[in-house]
Amino acid sequence: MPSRFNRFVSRVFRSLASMRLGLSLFGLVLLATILGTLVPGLWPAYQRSAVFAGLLLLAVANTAFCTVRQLPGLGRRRFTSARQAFYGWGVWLLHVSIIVIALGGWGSARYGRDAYLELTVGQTAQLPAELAGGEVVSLRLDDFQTDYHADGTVAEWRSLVSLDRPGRPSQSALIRVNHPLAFGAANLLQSSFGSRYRLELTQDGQRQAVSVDTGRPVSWTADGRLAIQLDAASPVNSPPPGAAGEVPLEVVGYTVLVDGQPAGSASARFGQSVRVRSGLSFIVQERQAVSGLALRYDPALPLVWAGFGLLSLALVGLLAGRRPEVAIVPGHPPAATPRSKL
Amino acid sequence: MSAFINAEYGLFAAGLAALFLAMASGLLQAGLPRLRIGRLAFPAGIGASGLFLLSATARSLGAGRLPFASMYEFGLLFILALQAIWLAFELARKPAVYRLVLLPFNFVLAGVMLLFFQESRPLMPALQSAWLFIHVLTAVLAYGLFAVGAVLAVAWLIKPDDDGLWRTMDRLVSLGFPFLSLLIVSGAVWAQYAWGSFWRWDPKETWSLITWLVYLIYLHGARVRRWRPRSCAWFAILGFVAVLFTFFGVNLLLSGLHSYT
Repeated sequence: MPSRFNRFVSRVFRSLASMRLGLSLFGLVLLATILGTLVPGLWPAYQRSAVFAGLLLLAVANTAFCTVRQLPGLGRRRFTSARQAFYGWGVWLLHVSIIVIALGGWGSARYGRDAYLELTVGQTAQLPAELAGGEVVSLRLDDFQTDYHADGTVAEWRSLVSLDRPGRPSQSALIRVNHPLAFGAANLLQSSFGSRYRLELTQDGQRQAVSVDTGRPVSWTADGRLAIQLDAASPVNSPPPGAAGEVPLEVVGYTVLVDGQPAGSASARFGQSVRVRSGLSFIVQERQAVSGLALRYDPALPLVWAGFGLLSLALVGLLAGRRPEVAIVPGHPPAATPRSKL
Repeated sequence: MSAFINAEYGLFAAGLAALFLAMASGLLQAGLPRLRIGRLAFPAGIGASGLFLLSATARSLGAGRLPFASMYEFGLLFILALQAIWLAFELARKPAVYRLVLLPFNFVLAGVMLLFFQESRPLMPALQSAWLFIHVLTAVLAYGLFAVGAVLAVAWLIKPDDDGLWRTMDRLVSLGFPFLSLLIVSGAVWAQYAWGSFWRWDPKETWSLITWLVYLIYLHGARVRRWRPRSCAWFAILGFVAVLFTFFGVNLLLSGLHSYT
């Protein structure tokens, strides 16, 4: 005979595993997510809040309890056909996969780390050790190329890199968008591109050479009121139709800023002096391509992949299987199965 | 290139006209049974499907790739999926009410998509992936099934004595859910390769999760909690409202990583 304590535990477990609670929790997650995205200024900080995380945690815990509770009944159940068995086990596996994905997602948010590198060709950077599995890894950009479509839009970025680790031969790899370089629990991705320019600024006969990256203003005058910002380099004209591939870049757009506000924009050719106003001129002397590489370390990723695998398997079960017929007649209570007490 | 653009636009517009003919003949037949004009609905609907398919083919030939990238291209595939479901209903000899509710919906959707017509563009680097096809195909299947499910839910709310409408709606929603799940998973896998993270709470991702939650609640409510059929029908409509917001609303109102067009 079960003790009072066991009965209490059983009752608590059934409450936690109840469908009523599950639907309420998922309903709350749904409402919270809708509000979070539609109320201006709330997203994305909102999804990192304790309330939202707590709701998700409770919903996943309920799914876990529900899954455990369903298992004995599913094991004893006699399916009338293989397709019904597929369906029954598919539904159960779907719940398991959601728990595994949620665990992986939590691990990813808790232990995942990001870093961002901007390298010009020939430049070497040391990767943060905590993102490289504790190893000392240096990364060198050997080459970086941009291909263009015939209409002038970017077709592809390619970074040829070398990874050097003590005691191991140098590893050379090509990184493209959608084709990251994986090493250990980290992935190195082609994230963005830009340019680094060598600029000669002249003010009343005084010359100064500066290095400036795309989109980042650089002060021109000593009081800092006047600044210049260079945009992405482009071909002289849009490439003619059929001229896809690598295209020489010869002009760069620039914006003159006064007290941080744009005061005028135009284009400059490389190597030609551009007079902005009396006593002020500049020359864009050289351009180096900058490859933006994102480093993502995620030790929980295998768990997420496992969850996705289970989910896909479960969905195959659902699609190949056959749901037991339930007679739902509009306006009448269903006849085949009693209303769930969960 | 412009010849292909003219051809695809013209074919789409002709498809829209054929769809109007199919819809109008079906509605007139329902209102005036003696006219026998309803016989036009099937060939006109087939003609519309063929013209939309030709328009998609012309676009593919002009762009040198399949039309899977922009909002207009997704809309074109969506309309083709809905026409395929309409054809399946016709071949299964479903009652005229299916035609009466589905064809007007397809017509309105096709009309809206014509407003979003834009020339095809080359694919940006992030879209050059095999995952694009899996992701978009699962989206077309899931959204198509949910759209027809919602249309049938509306029809059942108007005509609640027709059990067949309700059952078909329920089957379509049940079938759409696995495809919606695959849509989210394929997007997450692709995002891991393209952006280095399988989930970023981007507006499109978040709204696909919202849609998934609505249908998840529907399925549990209908299967386990034995909700009243009317509640299920309303939830099927609510789910499709979430689909529409994910498709149109997020693209037009919220900016994020999916802002490609």
